[in-house]
Parts: sequence; structure tokens; C-alpha cells
Amino acid sequence: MKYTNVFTVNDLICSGGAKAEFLEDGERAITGGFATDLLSHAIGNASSGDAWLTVLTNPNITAPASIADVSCIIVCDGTPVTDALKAKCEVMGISLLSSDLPITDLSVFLYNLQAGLK
Amino acid sequence: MADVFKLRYEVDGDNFMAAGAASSDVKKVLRQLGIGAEAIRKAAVAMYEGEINMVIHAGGGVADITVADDYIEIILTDKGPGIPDVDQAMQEGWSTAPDNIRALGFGAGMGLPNMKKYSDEMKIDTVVGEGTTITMRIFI
Ligand SMILES: Nc1ncnc2c1ncn2[C@@H]1O[C@H](COP(=O)(O)OP(=O)(O)OP(=O)(O)O)[C@@H](O)[C@H]1O
Ligand SMILES: [Mg+2]
Repeated sequence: MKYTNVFTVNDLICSGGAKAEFLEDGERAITGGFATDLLSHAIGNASSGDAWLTVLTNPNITAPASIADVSCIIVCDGTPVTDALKAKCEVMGISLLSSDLPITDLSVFLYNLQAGLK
Repeated sequence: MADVFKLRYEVDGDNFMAAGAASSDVKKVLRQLGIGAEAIRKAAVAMYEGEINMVIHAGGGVADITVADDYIEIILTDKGPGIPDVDQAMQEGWSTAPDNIRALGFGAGMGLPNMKKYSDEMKIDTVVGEGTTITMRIFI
């Protein structure tokens, strides 16, 4: 979904909803959110600027993230982030965050975060 | 007709972790050529899905990209098993990807539909037992 009020990757980290694993551009705006664990679903439907919520952690997620131009990948549900994924995100220049919240909960968290901005 | 720009990538069939590398590179080159963001996204998605399909379903192949004045053409050629029923393969949700591949996030059966959606023209030539050639054009 598209958010009405835009916040940045750093804003999300400061809010405590997710923590940084690798930051390419903390000041990049998160303009919406998209959640899926299917790569073709993500590349075909995520919009530029979206935060991509997933539980996938294999480095293959970086190519769709890069092509869809998401603002960040957020690995949800306390899923451990591998060094291989972090390294690939650095090479590809994609911000990588992680969160203990399940995907549905983080979706609500993000929505409330932007709704609280005026 | 001004300059025509050509790129060729050998897509490795065994290297899963590098899958998508050619598409990411094409995106970079198109940006350097000053192509518009919308056309770049369309070409990169179409190319990515074709590249991944060659890796997963066909043991690799070759991607030829031509950038002309008014279009980007992507030709993907493989010597894989071919597609027995193209109409079925084009259906969203149809996939023959094995479980270990699905666990990586592939196998939604949305790759070919994405190629159709993001290209302006698409042609599939496939012969079972010989291989598949997919030609796509994106107008710029
Ligand atoms: N180059 C190819 N050679 C042989 N078979 C192919 C090729 N491309 C696609 N197919 C067949 O068509 C099916 C559908 O392809 P499609 O790209 O839509 O889905 P997928 O690759 O299975 O999953 P996804 O792309 O969503 O990760 C594949 O599962 C496979 O059986
Ligand atoms: Mg596919």
C-alpha cells in the first residue's frame, strides 16, 4: 500500500520497529509497504520506495529488491539474517533491516507510524 | 537510425547465487544510456524473469539485448527441455519448480505472466527437447 505520510528508513529504526543490518541510505523515504515471500510477486508488484516485508533470507532476494527499487528489505518474524545476505545487500546497495515482529504486525506498525505523522 | 547498442550475457545454469546478475547489469547500463525510469523497470523485470527461468528450468542460456532508438529488445535463448504447453505455462500460478527451489522464493508461477505484463511485445518459440527462445520488446 501507499502511505499518506512519508517517513525515512532512519525514522523506522528510531521508532524501534526494526533494526539496521545494513544501511545504504538511511534518509531514503519509505513511501509504502509490500509483503510477500514470492520473488516474482515482489518484482512484479512492489513499487519504487516500498519497504519489502519478507521472511526470505537467501541472497536471491536482492535482485528483485534492486529492480523493483524498494527503499529497504525488512526480514520479519525474528528470522536470522545471514552474513551472505548482508554482504549481497552491501554490494547491491540495498538497505537491509530486521524485525522480531511477524509480517502482519509489522505492517500495522508501519501503518500506525505513518498515520501518527502529520 | 542512430546508434544501436548491443549487450550479450552468458547465463550460467548452475550458479544460483549469481542469478539476476545480468538483469541488474542491464538496468545499470540502461540508466547510463539515459533511458527513462519506466522503460528501465519494464526491461529489467522482463529480463530478470527470463534470466531466472533459464537458470531454473533450462540449465542456463544466452541473453541478447539491443537498445535501438525507440525500443529495447531482449532475446533469451536456451537449449533446455522446451515448454510442452505454452498456454498452461503462461497461466499465473502454474509452475514445475521443485520444492528446494520454491523454498528460495521462486516458483510462484508468475515469471512468464510478469514478462507478458512488463513487455510491449512477447514471442515464445519453443520445441520440446530442443530449447526455448523468447523475444520481448519494450518501446521507449
Ligand atoms: N526457459 C524455459 N525452459 C523450460 N521451461 C520453462 C522455461 N521458462 C518457463 N518454463 C516453464 O513454465 C513454467 C512457468 O514459468 P514461470 O516463470 O511463469 O513460473 P516459475 O518460474 O515456475 O515461477 P516464478 O517465475 O514465479 O518464480 C515453469 O515452471 C516451467 O515449467
Ligand atoms: Mg519463472
